[in-house]
This record gives sequence, structure tokens and C-alpha cells, in this order.
Amino acid sequence: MTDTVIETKALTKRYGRVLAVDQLSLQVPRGHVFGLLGPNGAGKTTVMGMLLGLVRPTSGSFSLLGTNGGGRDALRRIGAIVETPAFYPYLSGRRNLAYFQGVMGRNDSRELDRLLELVGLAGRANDAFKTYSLGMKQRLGLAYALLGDPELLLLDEPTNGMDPSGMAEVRDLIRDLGSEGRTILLSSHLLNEVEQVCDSVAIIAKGRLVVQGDVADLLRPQEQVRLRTTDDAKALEILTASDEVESASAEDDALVVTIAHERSSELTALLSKSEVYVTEIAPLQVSLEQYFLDITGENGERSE
Amino acid sequence: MIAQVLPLTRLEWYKLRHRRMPWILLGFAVLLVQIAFWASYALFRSGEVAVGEGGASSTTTISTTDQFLEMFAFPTSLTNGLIVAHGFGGILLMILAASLIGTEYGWGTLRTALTKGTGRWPLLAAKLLMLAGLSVAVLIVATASVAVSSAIDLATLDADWISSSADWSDLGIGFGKAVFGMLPYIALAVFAAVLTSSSGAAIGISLGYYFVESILVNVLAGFDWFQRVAGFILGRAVSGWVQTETGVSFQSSGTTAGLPDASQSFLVLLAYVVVLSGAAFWVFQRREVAGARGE
Repeated sequence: MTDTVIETKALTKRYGRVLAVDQLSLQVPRGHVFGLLGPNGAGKTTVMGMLLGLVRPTSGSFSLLGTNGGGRDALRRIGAIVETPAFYPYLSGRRNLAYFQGVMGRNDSRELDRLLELVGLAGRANDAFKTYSLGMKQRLGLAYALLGDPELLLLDEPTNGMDPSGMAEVRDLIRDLGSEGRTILLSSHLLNEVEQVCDSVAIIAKGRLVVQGDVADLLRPQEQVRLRTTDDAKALEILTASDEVESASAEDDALVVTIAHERSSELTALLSKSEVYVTEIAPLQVSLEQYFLDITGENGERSE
Repeated sequence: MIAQVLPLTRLEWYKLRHRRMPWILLGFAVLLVQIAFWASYALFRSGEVAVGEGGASSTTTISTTDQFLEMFAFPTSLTNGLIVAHGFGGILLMILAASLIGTEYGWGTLRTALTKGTGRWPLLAAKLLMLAGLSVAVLIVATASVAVSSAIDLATLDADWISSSADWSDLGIGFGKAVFGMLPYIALAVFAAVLTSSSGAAIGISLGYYFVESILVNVLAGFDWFQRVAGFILGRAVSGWVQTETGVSFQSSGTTAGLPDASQSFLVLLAYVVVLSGAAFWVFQRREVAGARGE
């Protein structure tokens, strides 16, 4: 059994003069929750489409579950949602699932009950799909992806359109699915989503792979807090000298410190020892665009 | 491959029977057949009836009661019902076929189905097979409704139930011909839907072709060069295929003069079915599948 579940080699997709995916080479290890992170238009959905046989690559190759070019046998072992989940609007959620279960050659009403319960749709299972909110459609999409207990999940922006509590539930669910040993490829344009859910990440921009590696190595160092103190100059001196802090700088009328959010309370303890007191502290939201600017140069290569 | 297509065909029916559209179209087909039937009855009651002997362009008046009662007796009434049902049924099935395929693109459900490992070839084959089955069902239901009306008529008229010139084998042959005569129109609508990825455009193209062809056939009928190619035109080939031995054509449009014989018509129709279906499969197999467009 191969340890790499998805492998792409120089995968390229061109639409006329637009290069949607450019020489993308990825390796997704078995059992990982793997994030495909990039801004809108980066080529994430096109990559998913190629892996699922919906989009024909212009050049390059890929293997899915050890099968070159994917194919139907591989697809039967995969659960996927691409873009907004699409179902028959006049059928109920349950009947939609029953249809796609039948397409897979299966008929198991207990599985439908279990999946509808899992995604929190049991109470609305018999309502027509067209009456569902976007969040409910996403949940049904997840249930559909889980039909047949697939060993690989491809989830394209699965929390798109959900309210914050729904997003949190789905992220918990994805983490649970990943902890069962399932391999998950999650595409997202949300830095914090990938950070919360994924073990590994590939960052793509303009169809090109910018960097691939463990989330802990690539994303978490970017966590920053912004703080104000009773004596910013002294605080900067203390923080710069501390081994606990990766970097600290004065920006505008505050300090920006690079440190994991969950460790930010240690800053207050550190400063208070020197009688510098924190008057204001907040996580600094780094936009994905800013993050890309930080890790990429003008030519799209990672700056070291 | 067949083992995969048959379960998919059953699932296509599972989806379709929960839609309102096919039931509305079926009701419409029955309504049109009944209107045609009861219009004939009303004409008889008024003392005169015209039937499409030799085509709509040359009608013959049947003035005797016996001749008329013969039309309402079994199985002649059923054959007449089949003629009417075939004409309307073809149009309604084109609409249904275009909608069935086009909405899969519009709703984005084609993508959802394909990502579960459903092969493209079996998926389209299942849809075609179900549409062919529906053409049989439409004809059965419409003809059965005529049988009920015919029984009511015959009971009220106190006439013989079985036609003196009854030939039940004609009914079976006519049924088979009517079904095969619908297949090119279904293939046309499916090809248009796959090509345009849109139910609206496919319905427009299919119906547009049907009616424009009927008009052009009448307009161009006087030209010698047209007579040489007329037998290869879809509508004319269908007319040639379904015309009965008495010269009554199932097709009401166009002149029946110079229709191709049944053998040539069969080959022409078969060519249309093979070419249009083959082209639909080719496009369906190769085209990339985008997401929903909200159609």
C-alpha cells in the first residue's frame, strides 16, 4: 500500500491564454488532513476537477490511490464535494442521498440515517433540497461525500456560506474524520481554517505551488499579536531579547509580536516581571494576501 | 457494461418519477389524444367526419355510419389513437429529453454524479434507455386512454366492438413503428442538450428543427432537386416509416406524395439515431464538466 495517496507531477491546465494550474507537483500522504490553501482564483477547484476527472489536464500527470490518472475504480473510493454542492432541487435531502448511494451500487437506509444525523440534517431530511439554506446544502454535500465510507475525501471550500457555529461544527467533523485515519484534501482560502484543521498544507497562487509542508512549520509562525503597554520602548527591548518570542517590532503606536496565539498570555507575565504592563492585546489577523506577500517574492518563489 | 446501465436506468426513473414535468407532459399527451378522439365523435354526431386518409392535405369524407363506426371499433380506434399519440408524443418526448439532460448541466448534478465514479458512457446510455422506455409508456397510456373512450362510445352507440376488418397484428406493427419513429427525435434532443449544456437551448433547437423542417418540406416540395433528397430528411423518413398500408401516415405534417418506402425510411432513421446518439456520446465523453449555472 502506497504512502502517498495523491501525487501530481507537473500538472498543468490552460484555458486558452489563461494558465489556471502551472506545473503543479504535490504529494498528499496517507492519513493526513492536507490543506490546499490559496486565494480565490488560485486554481484550487481546477486541481480538484482534474483529480476527479471533470477537467482534462493540458499536461502533466497524477495518481489517485495508486491509480494513474484516477479512473472510476479510484473515484469509487473517494468522497468529494466541488464548489457549491449540487443536488436535485425537487428531491428531498434523503432521496438525493439515496439516489447517489444507488449510483454507487448500494442500498443502505441505515447509512443514510447515520450520515444525516452526523451532519445535523436529520430533522430536515425529508424537505426538498431547494428549500435548504447554503449551510444546509454544504452539510448535505458532506453527507454525500461520506457515502460508502471513502478512504479519501476531497473537500472544496466545505464551510463556504456557513455561519460561524456551522463552520466550527464542520471543522470539528473534518478533524474527527481525519483522526479516523482518513486522508482528506481540503481546499480553502481561509488561513485559519487550514491552520485549525490540517496537518500539512500546500500553498498555491496563480496556479503555482508556492510552498508545501507541515502546517506547524509554515503557518503557525505567522501568528502575531498586537499589543500596547505602559512602556512600549522597554517592552520592545524585553521582547526582542526573549527566546520565547520569534520577533517583535514597533509599528505605528503599538508593538507587533510574532508568537502563537495560545501563548500570548505568556507575554503579559514576561513584561510584568519588569514592571511593564500590557494595556491592550489582540491577535493580529494576517490576511492571506499579506501572508502570500510575506512568503513569496515577486517571482512567486518563497523568500527565505 | 449492460449490468451497470440497467441499475442506472432504474435510478433515472427514480429521479424522474419525482419530477412534475413528465407527469404534466404525459397528461398533456393524453389530453391531446382525447381531444382528437372526441372531436371525431362530435363531427360524427354532426353528420360528417374527415380523416387523414392520404395525409392532412387530402382528406376524404366518410359519410356512412358503418364506415364511421368501424373507426371507433377495436382495434381500428387504437391504431388511430396511436397515430395521434405518435405525433404529439414525439414533440413532448423531445421536450422531456432536452430537459432531462440539460438540467443536469444547469443544476450541476452531472458533476455530482460523475464524482461518485459513475462512468459517463453508462450514465448517458441509461438516460437514453429510459427515454426509449418512456416512448413506449407514452404510447401505451395514450392508446389505453383511447381504448376507454372508444369503449364508452361503442356502448353509447350500441355498435359492434370489433371491427369487421380487424387486424390486430397491424396494431402491434404500428406500435413498434411508432416507437422506433420517435427515437430519432429523442436522439436529436439529447444531442442538442449535450452540445449546448442547456435545457432551454436544447428544447429550442429540437422544436425549431421539427417545425422549420415541416415548413421547408412544404415550401420546397415543388422543386425536382428536392424530391431527390427528400427521402433523407428526418420528418419525411419518419412519415415513410410509419405510413400504413392504407396510405394513412402517422405524421400529419407535409405531403405524403413521394414518401420513401419503409425499408429506405428504416435505414435513414437508423442512421439518424446512430449518428445523433454517437455524436452525443462523443461530446458527453470528452467535454469538461463545469459546476451549476443555476438553470
